[in-house]
Amino acid sequence: MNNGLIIFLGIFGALALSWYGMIVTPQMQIGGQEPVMVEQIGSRYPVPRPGLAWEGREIYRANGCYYCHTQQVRPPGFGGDTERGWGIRQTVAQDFLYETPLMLGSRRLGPDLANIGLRQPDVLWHLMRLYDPQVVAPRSTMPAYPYLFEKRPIGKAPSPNALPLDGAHAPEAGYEIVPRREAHALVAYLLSLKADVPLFEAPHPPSPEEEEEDSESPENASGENAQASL
Amino acid sequence: MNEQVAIPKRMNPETVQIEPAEAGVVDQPQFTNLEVDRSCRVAVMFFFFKAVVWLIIAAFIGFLASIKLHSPGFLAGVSWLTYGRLQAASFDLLAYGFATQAVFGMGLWMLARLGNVQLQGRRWILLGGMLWNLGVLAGLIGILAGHGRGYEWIEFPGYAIVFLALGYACVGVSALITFCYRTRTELFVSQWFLLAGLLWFPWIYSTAQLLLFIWPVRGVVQAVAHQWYVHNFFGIWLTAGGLAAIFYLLPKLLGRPLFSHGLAMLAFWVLAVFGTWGGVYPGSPMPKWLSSVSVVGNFMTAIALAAIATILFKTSLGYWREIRSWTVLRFLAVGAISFLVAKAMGIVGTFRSVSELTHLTTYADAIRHLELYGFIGMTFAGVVYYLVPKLSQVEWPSLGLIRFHFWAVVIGVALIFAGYLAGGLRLGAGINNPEISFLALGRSLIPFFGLVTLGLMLVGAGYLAMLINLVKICRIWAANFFSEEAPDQKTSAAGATV
Repeated sequence: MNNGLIIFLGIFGALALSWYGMIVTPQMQIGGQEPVMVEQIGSRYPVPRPGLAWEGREIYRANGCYYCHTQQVRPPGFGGDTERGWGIRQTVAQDFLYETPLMLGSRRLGPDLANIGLRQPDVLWHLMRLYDPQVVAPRSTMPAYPYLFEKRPIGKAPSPNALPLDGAHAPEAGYEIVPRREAHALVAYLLSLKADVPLFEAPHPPSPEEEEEDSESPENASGENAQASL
Repeated sequence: MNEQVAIPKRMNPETVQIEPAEAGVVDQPQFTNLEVDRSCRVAVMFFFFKAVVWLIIAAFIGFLASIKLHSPGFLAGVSWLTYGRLQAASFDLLAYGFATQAVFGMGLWMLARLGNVQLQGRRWILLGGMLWNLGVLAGLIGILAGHGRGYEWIEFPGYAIVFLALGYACVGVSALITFCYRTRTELFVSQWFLLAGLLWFPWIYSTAQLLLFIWPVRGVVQAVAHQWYVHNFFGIWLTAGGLAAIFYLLPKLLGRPLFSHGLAMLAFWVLAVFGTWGGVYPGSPMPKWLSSVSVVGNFMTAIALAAIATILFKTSLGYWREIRSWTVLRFLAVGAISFLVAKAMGIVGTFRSVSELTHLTTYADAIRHLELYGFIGMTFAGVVYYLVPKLSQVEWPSLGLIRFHFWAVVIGVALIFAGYLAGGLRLGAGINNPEISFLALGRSLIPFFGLVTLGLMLVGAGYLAMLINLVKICRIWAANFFSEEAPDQKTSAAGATV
C-alpha cells in the first residue's frame, strides 16, 4: 500500500463508480421524463406554473421557507402524511418536472405544503398568515413576514387590497397594511402547489365501491386497467 | 492541575515513529520536524484562525436563528434576519467557512509531516485561502440578501462560487504537489484519507454545481444529486479530514503504533466504495431503487465504522489515564466519540422502519451538529492545541481558557444534540399520529429548541475562549519573532504544557 499512484487510481475508481451509480444512472432513467396525458383531468400533467406563481417560488427560495416546510408526501402506510390530509396520494417524480430549484425540504417544523393550494385555497387567509401568523393561527410558531407588506397612510379611500386586520394586529389609526408584489407572488405560488392528479405510479386510493369491482374482475387489478378504472 | 502532569518518557511525541518501520528499510528523514513545521506555519495558522472565526460567527447566527424557533417574533421585521436565511447562513458558514478550512489547515500540515517534505506552493496556498474566505464572505452576504439557492448546505450564490473554486484550485493543487514531493515513501493511513478527500471534494462540489445550477437536470434528479452531494460532503470530505487527524495524532501522542493497519485499510476501502452511495431516504419521490441502494451502502458502511471503532479502542486500550489527563488527547477523544455516534445514527436513520419516524425531522440536525461541532470541531481543537505551541515555540498563555473551552463545548454539543434528537423523535412520532394537531405539536417542541439555543451559546463561548488564546499566543510569538536577542526560549507567564 505504498504506491501513491495505485491508491490514487483505486480511489478514483471507487468514486467514479458511486458517481456513475447515483448521478448518471438516475439521470438516464428519469432525466428525460416528459409530461403525461392524464385522462381523468383531460390534459397533460404537469404544466409549468403561471408567471406570478413562478415569481413566488423565488420568494419562497430567497426566504428559506424550505428550512421548515417540506413538499413531499410519503406513501400511505409509511408515516402519517396521508392520514393527516397532507395529500391524497404520495408525491412522485412526475410531480416535479418543472421545478428548479426543487425545494423538497428536509424537516417539518411546519406542515407539509405539497398540497397547500388544495387544503387552503383562500388568498386572504394566506396573506394574513404571512403578515402575522398569529392572526389566523394563534400560538403558531411560524415567524411573521411583515416586510412582504407595506404600511402606508390611508389616502382618500382605503385600498381594496388592504388586509382586514382588527384588534391587536391592526396598525395604528390612519394606516393600512397592503401586500407588496412579493406577497401576492408567494401566495400565488402556494396556491399553485397541488399534487393530487392521479398518476399510474401514484393512483388515488380506491373508494370502497371500486374495491368491490376490482375483486370481482381480477384482470382489473393489473396496472394499466387500475389507472383506467379511476 | 491535571494538564501539568509531566508527560511520561515513552510518550514523547517527537521521538515516536508513526508506524513500525518495515523490516530492513531505514528511512533517513531528509527534513527535521522543525523544518517541516516552519514551512507550514503561515498557511496553517491562516486556516486555523479563519476556521475559528467563521465557527464563532456561524454559532452566533445559529444562536439567533434558534431563538426564533421558540420566540417567532424575535427580529421578525427584517428580511435579512428571517429564520430561513439565518439558518442557511449558519449551516453554510459551518460547512465552508469552518469545517472545510479546518480540514485545509490540518491536512496541509499532515501531508507535509507524513511525507517529510516542506509545504509546496506556500504563496499559492495563501492566495487560495484568501480567495476562499472572500467567497465565504460573499456567500454569507448573498444568503442574507436573499440570493441563497434553495438547496441546504450548498446555498452560496454563483458569484461566491467563483472565488471558492479558484481558492480550492490553489490550495488543492498545492496539497497534491506536496504529496507528490514527499521524501518518505511509505504511506500512512491518514495520507490515503487526505488524498481521497482532496480528490473527492472538487468532484462532488462541481457535480452539484453543474447539475443543480448551471445546467439544471430535470426535476427530482436535482434532489438526488443534492442528497448525494450532502451525503458525500459529510461522509467523505469531512470524515476523511477528521479521521486523518485522529489516526495520526492519537497513536503519535500515545507513543504506540496504530492498531492493525489491515483493519484501517479495510475501513478506508469500505468507506470509499460503499460509503459514497447514499443519501436517499425511503418514501422520497424518487425511484425506489435509489433508497434501497442507499440502505445497502449505509449498511456496508457499518463495517467500516466497526473497524474504525476497533482501531481507536485497541490503540488507546490501557492508556485511559493519559487520555483523561492530557488535554489534546481529551479533545481528540471527544471528537472520535462524536464521530462514532453521529455515523452510527446516520446509518440507522436510513433504515426503512427508523426513517419512518426520524426522516424529515430534526434527527438529521442532531447528527450534523454533532459532526460539525463535535467531531470536526473537537478534533480540530485538539490539533490546534497540540500544534500551535510547536509552530510558535510559545506555550499556551491560559490553561483556564482551554479548560473552559473543553467543558463549554462538551456540554454545549450535548445540549444541542439532545435537543434536536429528542425534539426530532417527538416531531416524528407526532406527525405519524394524525390525532395530534400540528399546531400543538409545534408548540410542544419549544422546550427542546430552548436546549439548542443554550447549547449554541455555550459552543460559541467555548470557541471564543480558543480564539482569545490564539490571539494571545500570536502576540507573544510576534514579540519573540521581532526581538532577535532571545528568539526561541521565551515562554509566556503561565508557561504550561497541554
